[in-house]
Amino acid sequence: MNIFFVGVIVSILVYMIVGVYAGRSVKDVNDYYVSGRNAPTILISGTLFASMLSVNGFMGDQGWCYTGNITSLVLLNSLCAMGYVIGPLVFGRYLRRSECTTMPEYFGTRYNDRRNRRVAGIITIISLTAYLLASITGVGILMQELTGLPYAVCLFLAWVCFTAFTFYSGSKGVILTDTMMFLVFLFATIIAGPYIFGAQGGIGQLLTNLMNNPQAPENILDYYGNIPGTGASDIFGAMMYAITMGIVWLITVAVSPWQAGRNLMAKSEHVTFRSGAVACICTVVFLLYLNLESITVINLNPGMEDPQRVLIWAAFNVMPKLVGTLVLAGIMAAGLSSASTFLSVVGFSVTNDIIDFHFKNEKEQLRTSRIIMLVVGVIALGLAYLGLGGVRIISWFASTIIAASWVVPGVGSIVSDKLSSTGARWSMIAGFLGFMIPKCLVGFGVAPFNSIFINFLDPFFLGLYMSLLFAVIGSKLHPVSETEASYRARLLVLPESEKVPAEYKRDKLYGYILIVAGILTTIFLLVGWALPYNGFM
Amino acid sequence: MGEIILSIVIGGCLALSGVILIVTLDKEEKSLDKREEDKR
Repeated sequence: MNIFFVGVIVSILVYMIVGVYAGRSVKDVNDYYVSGRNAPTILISGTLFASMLSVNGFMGDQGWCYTGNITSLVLLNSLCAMGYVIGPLVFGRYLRRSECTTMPEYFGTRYNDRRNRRVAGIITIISLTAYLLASITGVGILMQELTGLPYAVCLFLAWVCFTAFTFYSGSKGVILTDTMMFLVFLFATIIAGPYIFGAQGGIGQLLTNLMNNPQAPENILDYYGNIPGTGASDIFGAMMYAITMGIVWLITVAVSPWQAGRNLMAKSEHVTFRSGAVACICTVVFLLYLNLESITVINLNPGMEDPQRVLIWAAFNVMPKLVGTLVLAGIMAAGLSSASTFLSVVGFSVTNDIIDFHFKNEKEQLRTSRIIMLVVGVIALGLAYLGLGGVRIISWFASTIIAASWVVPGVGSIVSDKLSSTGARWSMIAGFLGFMIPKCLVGFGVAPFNSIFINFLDPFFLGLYMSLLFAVIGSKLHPVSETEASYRARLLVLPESEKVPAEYKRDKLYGYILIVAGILTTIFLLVGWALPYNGFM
Repeated sequence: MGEIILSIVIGGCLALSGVILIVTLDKEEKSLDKREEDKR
């Protein structure tokens, strides 16, 4: 037993206690599903960013930076970040206006068709269960690495932690613990920075050291990054990979249930704009800082056998033990926060969107919701024990498949007066299959598809094109009904409670902060990298 | 040169997000003000 072990266990206990304590204030289904719809900016920001950043964000992505693709990742993240601002403006605020408890419920209500709700619910459950499995597996592996306990025990401990407060307190517990975890990994990363940068002479020396390091990965400082790292064969291909993946994630954060769905809990539409702005800044600035920490390790420990462990190595070897413990607890927190969100979204969908329960009263609905959440959690643990979380095909489901199938019916539900219930439903199914089939062909290396389905013919975009095509066909064959049209018209009316001039002023302040952050980021990159690297300074 | 352009693009994404937010909400606020004026 060492300080890292104790630190991780203590942090897990704290999350459990806080999460379960939050459950004591859950009085009705509104509290359980959408935290009473009164979450302030800090909690929505916390849950948005924490649900997005998982173990992969601290391991896989950092390994990618370490092996030469920091520029690809930062560009990808910058495009993705825009989705946090655009999403609430074109979809999230209207989703909140619907006062639904889940996103599949929104699709059912908006299009006045229970089938739409069911299709959306099934897609949610398939995708997010896969994501949940990947999260549990990731956290289990990390915990085993840190504590030395057997993998099976680690899987169980991680599962107990996030399941305990998720099934008992629902969204109330999840957004509170997500925000705690967000603050833990935020501060841990910030505090760790000076130690890592300082170990090779300070952040001011980073560029010079990398330029003079013969073991630095090829093209790490070039705008296109390490070309083979993107799976491309030339500069154009490498840039297109980063740009297309950036667009994919822009759409994902704008419409997916574990991101856009968080807006259902916001106190007001203004909170959705502000928390989106906060998440946008974190996605660029905080992740850039984290990525710089990872590439700094190249100057301290080049040629790591497993680049994904770059931050873990730094936590063990470069910082004081207490700071290292905080970093490791932060990485664990990133995984647990994502897992709790996925479990809650899946559990809510199973209870509300798939099974047609008729509850006697709210108390019964709340009790049933908790039981089903627990059952879903147990099933997920069982599947994780079977090793399914590490199966390649699972990760294909656990990706951007929802965004490929939902962006057209989701954004279309607001911006289009011609998209009908049939069009939306066919669009969802076509998007789902349009992604999965080419993804399997590419994933299993079936020639020539693996070299054709790239860039704007990536399986994500193929799903998107199919989704659009069938939206048009379905709407032409079965046009919009009066009920659908009048519901959409009601959604477009700004509620009286939102018409507060002071709130608009505050929202725009966040906009100005984004502009300043953008300018400062550009200056930092120009002065710290681009100009000296090109010999201008 | 590509590095310089990329630096501008990265910060530009943040800044553009801010511009989109401000312009959209400004437009909405002005249309609310106009409706209030029309009511009066």
